Amino acid sequence: MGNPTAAHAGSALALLALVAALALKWGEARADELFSAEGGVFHDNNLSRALSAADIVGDTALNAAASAGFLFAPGDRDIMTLTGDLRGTAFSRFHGMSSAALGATASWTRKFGLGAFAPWARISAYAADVWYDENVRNGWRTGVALRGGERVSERLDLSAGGSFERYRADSATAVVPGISGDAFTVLGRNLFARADYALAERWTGFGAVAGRWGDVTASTRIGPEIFEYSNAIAADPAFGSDYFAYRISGATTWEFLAGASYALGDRSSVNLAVSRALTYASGGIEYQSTRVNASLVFSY
Amino acid sequence: MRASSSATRSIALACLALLSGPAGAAQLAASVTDQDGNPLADAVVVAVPLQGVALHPPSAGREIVDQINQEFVPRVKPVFVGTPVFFPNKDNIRHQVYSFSPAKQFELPLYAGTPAKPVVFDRPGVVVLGCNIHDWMIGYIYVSESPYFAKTGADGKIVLGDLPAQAYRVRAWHPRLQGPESATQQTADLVGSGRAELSWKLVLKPEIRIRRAPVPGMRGHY
Repeated sequence: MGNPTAAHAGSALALLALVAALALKWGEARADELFSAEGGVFHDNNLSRALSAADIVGDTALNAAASAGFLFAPGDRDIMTLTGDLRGTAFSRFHGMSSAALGATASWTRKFGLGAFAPWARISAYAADVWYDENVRNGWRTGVALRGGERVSERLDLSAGGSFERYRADSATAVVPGISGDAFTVLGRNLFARADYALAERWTGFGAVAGRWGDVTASTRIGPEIFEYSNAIAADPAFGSDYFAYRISGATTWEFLAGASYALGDRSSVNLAVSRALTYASGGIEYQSTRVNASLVFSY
Repeated sequence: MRASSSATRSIALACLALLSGPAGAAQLAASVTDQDGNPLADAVVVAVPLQGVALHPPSAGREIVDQINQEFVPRVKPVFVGTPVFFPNKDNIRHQVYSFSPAKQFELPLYAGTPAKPVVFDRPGVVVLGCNIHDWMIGYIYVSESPYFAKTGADGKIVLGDLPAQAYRVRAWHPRLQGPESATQQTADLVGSGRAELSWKLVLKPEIRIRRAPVPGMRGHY
């Protein structure tokens, strides 16, 4: 195989070329430009997803994201979007976890009726090429989601859905003979529900709950659990030379999210959100993490 | 300022004259504020002659509500009953304008440019406009049974000139008006001085409209 970085760049460029070609074709049929940008800071108190207190490391990161593309309305009840997405995250301590991602998202929304209160369903798919400072984690993130919702009043908007997600690591270097080194490749299924409530003219509160079933990757110093319950082990220099990442299958994660958003105008908002994730796996493995995220979001 | 279509006004005034209403040109000035005393834009003031309104004349005028940058422009449009209104789409994407309001229920299938036929607003009342593609778009057509109406600007003021000198019931409406419009009704007698001034301090409800500003994780519903 050739240079992985070149392969990454090539595949990402091919993806963007596809997005651009489709956008140009559909753009001729009256498309609306979409652009959104987001910048912010977050803190994760268990970035390593470790079990024991000695291995738990938290960190703060700056993140920025931008999406640009087109919105089409091919029919009276249908809306399609196609965007190219760019995201970057820079951690303050664990630079190996800093990453950049380049990808694309496509969605199709069908409204079952006329007006803002008509129920709707949306299918979306995305793919992104992800580069980490520690390139052992590099890979492709892909997923497909089905979501439906209904605005039940001018204040309350409800939605729920499910998704499949996959992260496919580019490389897998075994560190333990006989055990796969593909610790960063994971597959998961999600179910989620969300409510958004207009608290005031500019304030919106939101809350969500999600369940995830599938593989998880945790990092720790060498310990018995990584041999007993994992099916892949790899070195994880992002957290230190003595850290190992291991993959557990069949894990369940419950995530709870609450936040508030203040509209600065028609196109921008400042937001604060807190999420708490609880992961359980066989053998009594259990870890928790809390993330606090502040962001400024702009959309055009 | 009167009905914005001069043709509509002319026909309406002609009809009023035929109804042998009082002659003379009178003027009604009005100011509208919110509950805090701030000038209120986009309030509609309607003067209804106490002696009755003209029969609804066929309207030769036409009005326009644009769609620009995914908003209705103007957001509030008062028209005389029977007025045809065009909805030109000046955006680069198609819109689908609709209303569920009892005063006028209609749907313009997804379109670009200007639909060939206007929508005729033939019943008095408030017609709330929406776009099925862009849920945050909201606009209002105020269909007046009287040809004497005006919309306040940023200073919250209007002047209705060239009114027949008679007595009027005058009321004010705003999209965020708390309570019934009928509760705003006042009387103005223009027979004597030929001029009257009215003012309203309207109590407004919070504007909880479907938000256009982004909310993390929702991506504008798209």
